[in-house]
Amino acid sequence: METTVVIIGGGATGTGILRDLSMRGIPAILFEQGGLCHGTSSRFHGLLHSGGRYAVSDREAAAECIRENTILRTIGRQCIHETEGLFVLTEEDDPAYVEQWVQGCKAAGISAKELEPAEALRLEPALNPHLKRAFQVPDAAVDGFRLVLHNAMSAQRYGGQFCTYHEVLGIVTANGRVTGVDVVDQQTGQARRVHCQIVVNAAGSWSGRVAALAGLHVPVTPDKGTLIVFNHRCTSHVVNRLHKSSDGDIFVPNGSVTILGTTSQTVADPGDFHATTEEALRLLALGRPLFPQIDSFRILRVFAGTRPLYTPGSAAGRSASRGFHISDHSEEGLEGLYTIFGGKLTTYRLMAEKMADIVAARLKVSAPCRTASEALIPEVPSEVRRQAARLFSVQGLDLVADRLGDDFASCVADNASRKRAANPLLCECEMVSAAELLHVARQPSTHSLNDVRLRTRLGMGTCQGTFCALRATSFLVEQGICFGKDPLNDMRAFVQERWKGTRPVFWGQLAREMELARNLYAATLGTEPGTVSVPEVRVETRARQNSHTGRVRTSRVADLVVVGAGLSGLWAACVAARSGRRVCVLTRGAGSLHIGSATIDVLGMTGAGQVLGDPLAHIVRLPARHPYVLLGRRKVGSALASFVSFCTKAGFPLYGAGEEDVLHNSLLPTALGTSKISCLYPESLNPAPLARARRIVVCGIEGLRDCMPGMAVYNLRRRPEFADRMITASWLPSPWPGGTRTQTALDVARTLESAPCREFYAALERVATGAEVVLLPPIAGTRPDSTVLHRLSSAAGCPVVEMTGLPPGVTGMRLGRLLLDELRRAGVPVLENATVTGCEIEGQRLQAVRTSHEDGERRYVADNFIIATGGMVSGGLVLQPGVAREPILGLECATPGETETWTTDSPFASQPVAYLGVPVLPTLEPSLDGEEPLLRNVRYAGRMLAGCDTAFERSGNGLALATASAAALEPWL
Amino acid sequence: MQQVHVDPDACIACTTCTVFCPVAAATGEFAGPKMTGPAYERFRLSGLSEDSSLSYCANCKNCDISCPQGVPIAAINMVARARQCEKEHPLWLRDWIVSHSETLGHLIGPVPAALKNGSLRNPLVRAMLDRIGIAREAIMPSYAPRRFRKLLARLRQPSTGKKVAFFPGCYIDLYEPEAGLDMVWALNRAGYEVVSPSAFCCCGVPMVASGFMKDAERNARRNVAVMRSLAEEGLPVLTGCPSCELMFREEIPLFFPDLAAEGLPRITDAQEFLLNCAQEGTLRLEEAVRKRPVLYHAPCHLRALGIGLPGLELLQALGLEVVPANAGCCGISGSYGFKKEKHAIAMKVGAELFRVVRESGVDVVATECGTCRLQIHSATGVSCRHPVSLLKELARD
Repeated sequence: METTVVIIGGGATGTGILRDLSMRGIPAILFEQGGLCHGTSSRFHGLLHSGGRYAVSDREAAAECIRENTILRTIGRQCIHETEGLFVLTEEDDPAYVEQWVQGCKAAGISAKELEPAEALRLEPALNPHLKRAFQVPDAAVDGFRLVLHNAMSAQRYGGQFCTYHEVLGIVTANGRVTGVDVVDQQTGQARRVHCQIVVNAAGSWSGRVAALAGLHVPVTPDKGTLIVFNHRCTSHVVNRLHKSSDGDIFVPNGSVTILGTTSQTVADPGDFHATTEEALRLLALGRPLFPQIDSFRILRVFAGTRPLYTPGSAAGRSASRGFHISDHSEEGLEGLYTIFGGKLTTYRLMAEKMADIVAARLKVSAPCRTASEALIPEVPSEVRRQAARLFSVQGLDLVADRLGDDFASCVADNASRKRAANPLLCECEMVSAAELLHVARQPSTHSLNDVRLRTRLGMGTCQGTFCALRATSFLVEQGICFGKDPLNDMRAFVQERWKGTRPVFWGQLAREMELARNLYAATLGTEPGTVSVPEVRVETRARQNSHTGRVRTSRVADLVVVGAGLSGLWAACVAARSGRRVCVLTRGAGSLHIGSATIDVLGMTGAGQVLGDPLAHIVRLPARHPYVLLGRRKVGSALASFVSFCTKAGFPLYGAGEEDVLHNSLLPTALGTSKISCLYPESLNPAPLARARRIVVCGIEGLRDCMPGMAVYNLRRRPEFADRMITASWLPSPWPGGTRTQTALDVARTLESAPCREFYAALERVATGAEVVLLPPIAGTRPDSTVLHRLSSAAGCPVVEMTGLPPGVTGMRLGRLLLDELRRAGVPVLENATVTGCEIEGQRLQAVRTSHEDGERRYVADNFIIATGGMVSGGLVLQPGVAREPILGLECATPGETETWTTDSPFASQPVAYLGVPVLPTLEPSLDGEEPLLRNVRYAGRMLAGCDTAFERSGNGLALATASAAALEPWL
Repeated sequence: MQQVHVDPDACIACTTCTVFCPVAAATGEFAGPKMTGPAYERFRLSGLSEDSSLSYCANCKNCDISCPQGVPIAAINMVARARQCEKEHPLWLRDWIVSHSETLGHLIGPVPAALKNGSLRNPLVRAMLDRIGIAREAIMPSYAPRRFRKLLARLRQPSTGKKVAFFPGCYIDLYEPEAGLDMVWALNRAGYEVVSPSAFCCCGVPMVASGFMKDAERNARRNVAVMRSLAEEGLPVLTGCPSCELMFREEIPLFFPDLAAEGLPRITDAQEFLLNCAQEGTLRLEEAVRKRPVLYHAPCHLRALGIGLPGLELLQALGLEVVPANAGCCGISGSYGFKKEKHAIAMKVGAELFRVVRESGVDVVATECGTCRLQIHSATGVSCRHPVSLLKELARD
């Protein structure tokens, strides 16, 4: 392999140089050790500086910034959001600084218009109302990854080449001249030598290491900066503190999120991307003077990058220049090697121009730089847009066009025959559709779901990959694209990467989201055995009792008030009502029962490994304060037995108990072709027919993204127990009449329940010919009966089994309805949208709970109370930095150690944080010391209980039922 | 309109709202509350154009009721709709008509009710209205000969020294004044004299639902001013309509935070007030004169209030057998069901409730919401009454 120039480093500088050289007609190849933009160019807040930040400290850099800022707006429209920026002087800032700053801006040519504080607040209502002064500057937001990609695309158009996942292992020299580089392809392990005349080291933070390959030294110091990503655009302008540049003083609205940065810390390893809780808390504290409500902004994750600071002599950190530097190593006796470093993303084009000028001069090429006048990506022709409008939703169209750049037209052409309905959104948070995903996944530079993420933003939104990782992998396998040796492992790696960024800030809404994620992963990918570490917890109570915030409106009196309407709340109410008590249920929200699969997982995993056989026999292996251990095997068993008998009597029998009603665990098939360990399940999920069947047909439904039969077959075939079976994938036409939204299993289930769907059943009959069992997504109706199930199996001519999958789980709705119907029959009122906010305590008794409303409070008086508000996902436990709270009684578990130690590296393992919760006695009464009850008429049931990790153990619903039964019976025993 | 922004951050994308959304169940054109609400909100803020699916949200609030995280999903949708309608408002005339019944009532006030109602049943008029987007099939409420507040002004009430103010809401004021008089009867019986200031205007819920946020704000300011002066006189303000109640209690703070910042006067649920009176013994409720089973439909907006079902309890206090219908939304969502392109969806949403009503065999359904009564009666032919009207009919003197 031979070229003229080798560029090392696929960040903004490297691809900028590649583009510049290619446009001048100079052959060049770029090598990047990771994916494009793996380093600093994607690890910053995305601020396209106006230069205002450097107006006082570095006027030259400031002037460069504003010039480049103006150029990039014209050439990189797709990468830049012209948000404009504000510099805000808060009460905490030195007012004397303003004058020099204004002068600095003026001198650098940066427009800085002063706004009245009221005007600034009108533009940004979340800003601190006590702000002193505000100036508007031409800051903007830039998508670093997209900028790098579009530079590379532009270079490609001029013949430039780039190779990602290629690490440079050596710089080859002869007679004091560079003659080539040795590179290794990290995907294949293949090494090769590339001959060239010139090597440009644009490896940023890694440039010291690259120079060292040639035995040279460059004064570059990696300087770590940590940033926080917030869930939405909390501000529409870039907002800077008007003070001497410091940490945590810039908020950038970037795409769908806001990024707050940064910190500054010298590190030895340029790849040190470890963000800490301490850094995050510091950033929040620093951001508070600008946005007083910062603690209510939902954090998505934290991340870090390293700046390649140019540090000759002793300058470091904030005092180091943000200017850039080019070293011509011929001065040190090696001709043809250049290192370019320092600088910042805003001036990348200028850096590239200077570097390319030197290279061109050396090669005696006289072509001038044209990078400032030609757009990176040509505008999309209107014909392509028209075609694309058939494929993408209105909002998604601009997003996808900007993201794909040059590839947009070919993506549209490839999918010309696909209609909108066949192009479902696979990532709803960042609006990534099947067509976009497929196109990006097929690029030669895409090797993993993480590569897909960088190009599409898949998994970078609200749910952080919880839903889309599973969908995207399934869809790609269906299309014959498997990343790595095992697509499930690639998916795990993706999920792990998302998890990593949440660990230092595992509290608030983020913790809820990740708990939901952990439950979903556990139900589909399974959990990994390992050391279970139960933290020592100190619990205090800060009950908000006798709150007199307003008039008390109505008192309702009952024997028992149950707070919460998940499985534990509803079952507790059923049990108490069946024993003749007057019960009232208060709930905020519908609980998670209806969106889950509602199989009764009793215990599927302990620290010792997977539990096969009777789960109750494994209770002894659980930690000492585990609720199962407190209740004892007998009580757990009898609670489950009474639930089974209730379901049978209600016409919705559960399966899973074997000889003499001894429970045993089973493996239920998931829509991924993996298995979910569970104990009791309704007929439709009963995997028994699967054990015997020689011929298995897995059916997907056209347009249903959550069940890809090819994926299920792929993974089933890889499981040893299915090695000798004949498993095939089939598609059924969707009975759902359709619409513009993406179809769910719930849509299909409802349709099958309400319409004849003859075509669908006929198709099922066809594909099931010869099959001994048919696996289907959860579509057998929404009601707790088997009407649809039997219709399906009679059409198939063999048993059908539903596969569990992503929410909405449909199967959970059936159980939810069963329990709600039972409560209706029993005349138990379920008060919706009633959030319990206070309680009245007298001595050791809870007299009443209160819900508060604008017009005052309502009190609910009872002899006994059961709190069944769920765990971290439902808000039964609320995590805040350093503390987990049970909000009703105000119990606080002081969490031990640093936030990072609450979780472990792997989201699939047991997490110390999960064991936090309400400590109870065997009677389920809360107790601070494990001996005396705190209150004598309050019992807790469900996932807020301390001492268990229900996601890891696969024990959520079993625990809910066992504790609910016990709590509902205990007071009257 | 103020630059309000309803925070989408609490959403964890769990899909519960999508499961419980009656509109999403009825049509594939609606992307579902999670998508049009918190998910799209993140993109709206970056200036992306609006999704046509937003117009399908009926603002019934089943999403808010089911959300375990407390996300005000419907409010996100309504603010987005208002912004969109400021830019572009197709079917403006239709939307104005169905959301400004009070103003319209004033405009055509002098026309005799019989003529108004006759023309609303006239096929030619309906064909014309259909052209502008009001479904020909939709049965519109009939104007009463005299508005509630006119009737109240003529009514001689026992003077008890205790007074309450009653916010009638448009439905009672324009179409069903007798239900308002029944309320006055009940409050009189509990020992209260009732006033209903003529300065009260439409609470604004229909305006919000059709994208007229500015009009809703104007009305909210007017009503709040009246309520403040009543509060100064020490008069509690009651309403029998859950939607009006929801507006004053939940929506004003979200949509017009500066108005709420000055402290909102309280509005009290009239049914709950009466129930309290009954519990305290000031309202005498004995065995009903006739014991016939009543089917009770809980309006979605009442469920959203989070105060339970006081209307149902009030009827139970008469010793009646009150069966909760538990069949979800009736579909009409105020004016949603009148809209031509939404009428079929509204009927489909209500189908389960209509089935339950028909199969129950009862001859009367009780529900607090006026348009729910209209919808249930139109679809099933079964008589539909406000719980307090039934109370009057069945209570012993």
